[in-house]
Amino acid sequence: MTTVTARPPRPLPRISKIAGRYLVFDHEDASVLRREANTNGSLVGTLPQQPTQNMFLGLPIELRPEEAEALVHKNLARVVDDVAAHQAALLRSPESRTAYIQSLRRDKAAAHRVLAERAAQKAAVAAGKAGGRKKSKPKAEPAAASNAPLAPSDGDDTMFASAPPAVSSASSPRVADSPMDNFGVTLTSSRDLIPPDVDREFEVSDTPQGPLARYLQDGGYHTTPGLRFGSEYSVYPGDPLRFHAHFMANQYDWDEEIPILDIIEGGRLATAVKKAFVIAGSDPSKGEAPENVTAYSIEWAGM
Amino acid sequence: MAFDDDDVPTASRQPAAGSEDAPTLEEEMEDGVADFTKLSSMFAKKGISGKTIRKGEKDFESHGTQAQDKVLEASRQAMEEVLSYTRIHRRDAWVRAWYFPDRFAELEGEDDDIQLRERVVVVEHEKGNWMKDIGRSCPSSKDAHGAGRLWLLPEEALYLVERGTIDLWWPNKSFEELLPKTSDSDGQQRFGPDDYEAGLPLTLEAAYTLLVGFEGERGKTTFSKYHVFTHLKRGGFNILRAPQNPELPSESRAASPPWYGISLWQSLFSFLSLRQEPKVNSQGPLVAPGLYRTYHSIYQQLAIIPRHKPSPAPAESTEPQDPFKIFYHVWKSGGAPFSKRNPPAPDFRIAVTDTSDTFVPDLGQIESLLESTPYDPPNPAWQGPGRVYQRLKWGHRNVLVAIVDRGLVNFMRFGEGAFGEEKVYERFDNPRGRYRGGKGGRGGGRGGRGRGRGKGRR
Repeated sequence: MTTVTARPPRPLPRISKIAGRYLVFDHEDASVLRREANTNGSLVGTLPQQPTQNMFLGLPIELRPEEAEALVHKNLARVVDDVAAHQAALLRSPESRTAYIQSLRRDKAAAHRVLAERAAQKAAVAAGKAGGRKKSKPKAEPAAASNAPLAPSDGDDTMFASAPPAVSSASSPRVADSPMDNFGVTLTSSRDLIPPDVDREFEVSDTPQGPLARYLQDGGYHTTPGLRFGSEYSVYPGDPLRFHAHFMANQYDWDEEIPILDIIEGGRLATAVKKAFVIAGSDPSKGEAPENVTAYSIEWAGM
Repeated sequence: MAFDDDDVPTASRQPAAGSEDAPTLEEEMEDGVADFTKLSSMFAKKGISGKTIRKGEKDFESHGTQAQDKVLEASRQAMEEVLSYTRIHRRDAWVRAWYFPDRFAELEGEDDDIQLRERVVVVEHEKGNWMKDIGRSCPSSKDAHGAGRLWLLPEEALYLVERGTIDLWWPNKSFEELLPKTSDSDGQQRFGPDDYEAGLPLTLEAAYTLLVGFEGERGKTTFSKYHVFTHLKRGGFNILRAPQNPELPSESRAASPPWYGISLWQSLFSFLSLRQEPKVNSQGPLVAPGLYRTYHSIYQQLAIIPRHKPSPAPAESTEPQDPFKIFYHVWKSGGAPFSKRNPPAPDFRIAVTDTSDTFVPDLGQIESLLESTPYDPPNPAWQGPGRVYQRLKWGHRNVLVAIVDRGLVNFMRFGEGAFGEEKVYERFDNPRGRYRGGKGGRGGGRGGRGRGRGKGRR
């Protein structure tokens, strides 16, 4: 929960609209949407830590238009025309960029500090091994890097004794200036780059809606793209990290004729993968509320 | 304060709390310290595996136990930790690139063999080994001042930013000021990573807004094309945009003689049929009454519907239209060293479509798409009835169509099948061939019944 608790009143998660797509770049926004709005979207970016695999991808997260609309409708997120917002922000005077530059410098200082500590820790571990001292009990390196601040007591004195310059320069980054010039930083989200007024100016409200997406969002279901099973959505009873999908769902217009082959295909395929096929539509005469969506689930009886 | 409870402060350590007069930056640093675990993971290249994020088998549904909640929470935290990573570039490996979208905007199409018009990002000092299929150097004929600079296509630039390889900047100064002629200042970087009057480092989000757009926007790629590009790059393939004016047909025509497409069998049998078979009556019956000694002569008469016949040089080919048009050329990794200047014939040709706006291609679309690829018949070594399916599957031309659904990429291979070239009935007149066909194929172990079925089918 480290990510969600830090800032007191968080603004609504921001969905950026670029070339007709709906994306979330901020990792905290992504986790708020996942935890509090049962919306996981699909990760579509290359993971910089491991860029040569296609199994686990990174930010941004892409949402379907109707998913984004369902969130906006329930006031759980807002959509911004991100291309226009960036043009406006980048063409503004350099003075308006101080907040962003500060956040860059903050991250550079933090990076410097973390790397210095890590180097020191490595040195300490190496020293501990070489001296054969029992007291320091070095932990495994990767774990130590993240655990260090929480358990600073053991092995700490060796760490600082071996690397005092790193600590002093990190505590006064402005004076030593080196961390600023030693790193480049690419932030993932433009939260600090886009001034709040610009951000508000380019909010958009004409996102196309889908009754089924609203219905599923409202019911607490998670969805992922249905391409793998040949439907519009795969529907999960909870976070897809933990649960299997229960349904493959398609939305139809109220008066739309549904080809019988669609039902047979969907029903057979879904049953074969232990799911049910769902068809849903919303009665336009009754209004847009999710309660007016009618959904049927179909299973292949195989008698 | 992370170290407040440390009861053995060493002399050399500066008390971090003692910096009351520190600037705002420092105060913000302190905020960060409260949350040091997070900061640490922001820069940790921690290994990601299925195990860290997806712990154990998934469940069918929530059963309200704490154990389940804990496992889910652990997965979420592992994922959040991975996603909170911030890309940092150490000075020694720092590669800066600048966004200059309009430098080649005026360039004419026919003069632009390396697609300079679409290249909108210039690299200041390239380092590393990612250039083998990415970027092209600008020749001095196109840009006297910036000759030799490496320019990137939008998808290449965005991929490199996303990968953490380059630091993309928005320029505040002119091209000439930021990037002096390569010859006069070798290795000199005028502006460092903290010189914000020169420009502004862009976020990943900003890079997306600048480099991804709608179909047809100059200097931008589309989401589906970008996803296909990154999917293949991550998989280790070499990938280039297909040349705009392909010269394929003439090349393939030269490779195979014109009579190649006309089957020898056909000419042979047409000769036989003239001589032996009873005359065909246009009023019917379909098979003229008479004495037949071969199946072939009967089937020959039954074949009244003309079949598609692949040919190395299609008679009239129409221009393929987007999205069913080859956009990428792709090469497998490994093998001979890859040259982006003189690439060998590609291993795959790919057209890119998106589920949100594309349907299954119609015959005209798929035909013109296939005809824009070179003639590529099945391996001549694949002879005999046992390899019919292999030949049919391979086809005489082939193309991959990538289908993108929200970042999920699927590839489908379309081949120019030639069922008319596989005359199954020819084997009926040769009992040995039939027997081998029935037994030598997949159903090798079948009993008598299986063989009978095979016979009926063939």
